[in-house]
Amino acid sequence: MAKLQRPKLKKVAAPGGRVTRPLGRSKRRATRNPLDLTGCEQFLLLEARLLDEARFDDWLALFTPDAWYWVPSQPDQPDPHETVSLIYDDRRLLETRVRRLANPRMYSQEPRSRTSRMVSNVTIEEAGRAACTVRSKFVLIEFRRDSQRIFGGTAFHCLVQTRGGLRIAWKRVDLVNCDAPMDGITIPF
Amino acid sequence: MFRNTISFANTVNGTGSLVLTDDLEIYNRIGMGLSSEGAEWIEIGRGFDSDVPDAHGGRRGKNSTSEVYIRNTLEAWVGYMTNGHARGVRAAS
Repeated sequence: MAKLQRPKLKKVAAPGGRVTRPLGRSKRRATRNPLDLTGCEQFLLLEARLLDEARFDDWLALFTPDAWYWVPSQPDQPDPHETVSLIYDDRRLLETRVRRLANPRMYSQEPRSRTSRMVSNVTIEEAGRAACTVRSKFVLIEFRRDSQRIFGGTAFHCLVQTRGGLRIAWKRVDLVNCDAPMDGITIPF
Repeated sequence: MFRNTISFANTVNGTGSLVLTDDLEIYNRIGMGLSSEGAEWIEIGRGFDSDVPDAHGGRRGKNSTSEVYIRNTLEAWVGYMTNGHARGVRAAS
């Protein structure tokens, strides 16, 4: 029986015999463009984590003051104004949505949902100097009361670089089942 | 105008809206309550003390949480079924 072999990691010693990366800011990190693929991926993972941990105020803080958040009800829906959407929030509505999620009398979140998100297949679709559009795939599992449901689809984020860090100027979420009948959506995608 | 209608549907009636989601939850809980054998009576008295007469001979709630619409519906139904003869019941004309 062949013994299962672990791949041997090649150790590359840094000057001074260091194997691990030095802690703290390196020059490379300080000069890296936050809008590169890694920066965008890290941002999306942070966003997913904030949502999974129900830190909705922190999630809201990721958006610009004039942001919009859109979940169309039709595949390839060109416009949020000509037909209904599952969600179409400007910043003010998004704030109301988050404030509502903090309210203990929100019956549809009593008990609370537990969610688990996977974000993957991240690509940068359009890139400018201080903004880019990022496309990603996601799977979201939501468990509440006695049932579990799965959402999946494609997310588009327009990320902008601000003095406070990366922010979401707009976000569009295309669910694969966007035109299916479904129970209420309370936790944002 | 059309845009306002779409916007209203999104925020009030839609599946991800700020209103309907709680309504769906409550409808679901009512269904579970009705299917249980724990309670023989359904209480529909909410808002009874604050309902006011309306111009059509019925009553209307002081606010949107009054259950006056259920009482009005039942009253009208009893009126139809008894041709207005049931005691204490307003006939629906």
